[in-house]
Amino acid sequence: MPAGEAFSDRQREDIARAVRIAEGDTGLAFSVYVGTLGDDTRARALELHAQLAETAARSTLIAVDPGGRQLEIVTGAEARRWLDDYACGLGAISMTTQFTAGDLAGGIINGLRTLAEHARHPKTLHNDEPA
Amino acid sequence: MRKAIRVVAVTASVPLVAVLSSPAFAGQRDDGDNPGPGLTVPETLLWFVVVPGATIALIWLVVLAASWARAPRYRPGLSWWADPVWINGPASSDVPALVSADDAPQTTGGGARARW
Repeated sequence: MPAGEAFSDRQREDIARAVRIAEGDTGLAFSVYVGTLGDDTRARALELHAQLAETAARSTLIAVDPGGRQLEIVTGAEARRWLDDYACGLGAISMTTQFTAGDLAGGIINGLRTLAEHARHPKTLHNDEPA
Repeated sequence: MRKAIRVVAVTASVPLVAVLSSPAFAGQRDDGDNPGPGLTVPETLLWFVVVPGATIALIWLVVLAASWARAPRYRPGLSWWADPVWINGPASSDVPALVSADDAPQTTGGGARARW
């Protein structure tokens, strides 16, 4: 396989749009990483999640290792209040279904939709910043 | 082995019968036929080998060119070739932080994992 870009410009834009929509719907932050995660995929995913620095607590990281065929979803402490592990599991299933068919971008977009659907919650003045 | 012999016998016998019987039809002229001059060997090769071959090659090229034009596609099971991509990674999120970095742990280990 030649070296190159994981996604076409259009796929990238589609994923970025799905991220924006998910963030708008939920008030949480979403981040998508596609690359090698090494042997200890969970540890690497947690490391990446920590790199999100100040947004980490309210961030959900979707880390995809296409070579190792491994998917990790990490929710921040704040994000987990709205996005429990069960919902993450459902999101993971919807993603891997499409990954199996070789559709990375489509799987990520659908997974983001599933996660956003579960993390959606009514805005409350005392918890959320005013829009 | 017996099966192989049977397969060879059946596949060979059909064209063999056709070949053996074809001279029987060659001698008789059909009513209203109008044969032109025969083809020479190079002409025969041109029309029955070169032209079909070129047509097949052309179609093959057109189909392959479409896949050459596209970026390499991810195929599960093959090694990953691309550089890491981080969409909405550090410092690019539009969402303001509510909890500062010094507060409570950033993650409580929530999430999920899956293989495919």
